[in-house]
Amino acid sequence: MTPRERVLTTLARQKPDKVPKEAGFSPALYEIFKQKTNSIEPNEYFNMETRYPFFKDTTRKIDFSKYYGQLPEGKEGKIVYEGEGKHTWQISGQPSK
Amino acid sequence: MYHFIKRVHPLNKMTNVSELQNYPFPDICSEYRCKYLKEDVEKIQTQNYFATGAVGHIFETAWQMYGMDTLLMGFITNQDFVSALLDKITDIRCFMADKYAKADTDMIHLGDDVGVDVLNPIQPECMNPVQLKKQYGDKLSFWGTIGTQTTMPFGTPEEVKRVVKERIETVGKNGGLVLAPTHTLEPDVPWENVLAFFEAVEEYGNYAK
Repeated sequence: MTPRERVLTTLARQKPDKVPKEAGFSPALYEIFKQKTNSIEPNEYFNMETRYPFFKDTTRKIDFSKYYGQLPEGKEGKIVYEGEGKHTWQISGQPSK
Repeated sequence: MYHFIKRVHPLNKMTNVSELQNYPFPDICSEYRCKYLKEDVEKIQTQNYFATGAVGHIFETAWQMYGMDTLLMGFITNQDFVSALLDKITDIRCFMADKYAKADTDMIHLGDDVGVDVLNPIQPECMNPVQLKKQYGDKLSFWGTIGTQTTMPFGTPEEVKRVVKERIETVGKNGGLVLAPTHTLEPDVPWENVLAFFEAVEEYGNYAK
């Protein structure tokens, strides 16, 4: 049975050859994953059955600073948009993170 | 560092629909962002993997953008604004779902509770997975069941294996279960527990045995 058949069978509420499995890693645990396994691809390393096609990243660069007026108290800087869910705080006097 | 801890809400100070209309929402509906979707799905399926189209959320996105308290108060005090916000997010999510459907993904995953075929994530801290299987196992399949507020961070590797085995034997009985932690794993999960999760699925998840 292929990984795809395994999940399709499961979603049809029938019995595949094996139980399909999945786990997502937060950015910090992903760093640990890379150190422990020398792999960069958890889905492949752990033989997970699912993959996630997604829309291509945006090419727009927008300064969102005026919408994100809530920098930590006493900090000044700007917030730069780097794609969906990827806003980076560039706080003055500190390296960006 | 844990994620989901620091949030800023870009629409937090807004009150007028006109301000919302000027906000630079993602250009995800642009052709250049979705024209390779079908190709990507075909590639995944040719490699025999299961292609999930992740649409994201509607309600969750709304509170993340506007603030939980402001959104909940807005339902009473500023209905024009929150309606416009939810409509806008819903339009984007519908567009994405439509694109995924046309790209022939195997499943469309939406974060809001509208699930009809598969229930995810079944947090054992507040739902009884065995009871759900018993009541709805003929209508639903299940995705999740391993607690990320209990077993994954705080259990021993042996405990993780025991829970995985139990879920497979109960919820996974005769199929219908994709086993997964109930959310993204954070760094409070010991690496040994991550390994124990996958080892246990390998060890106990073979239906032919």
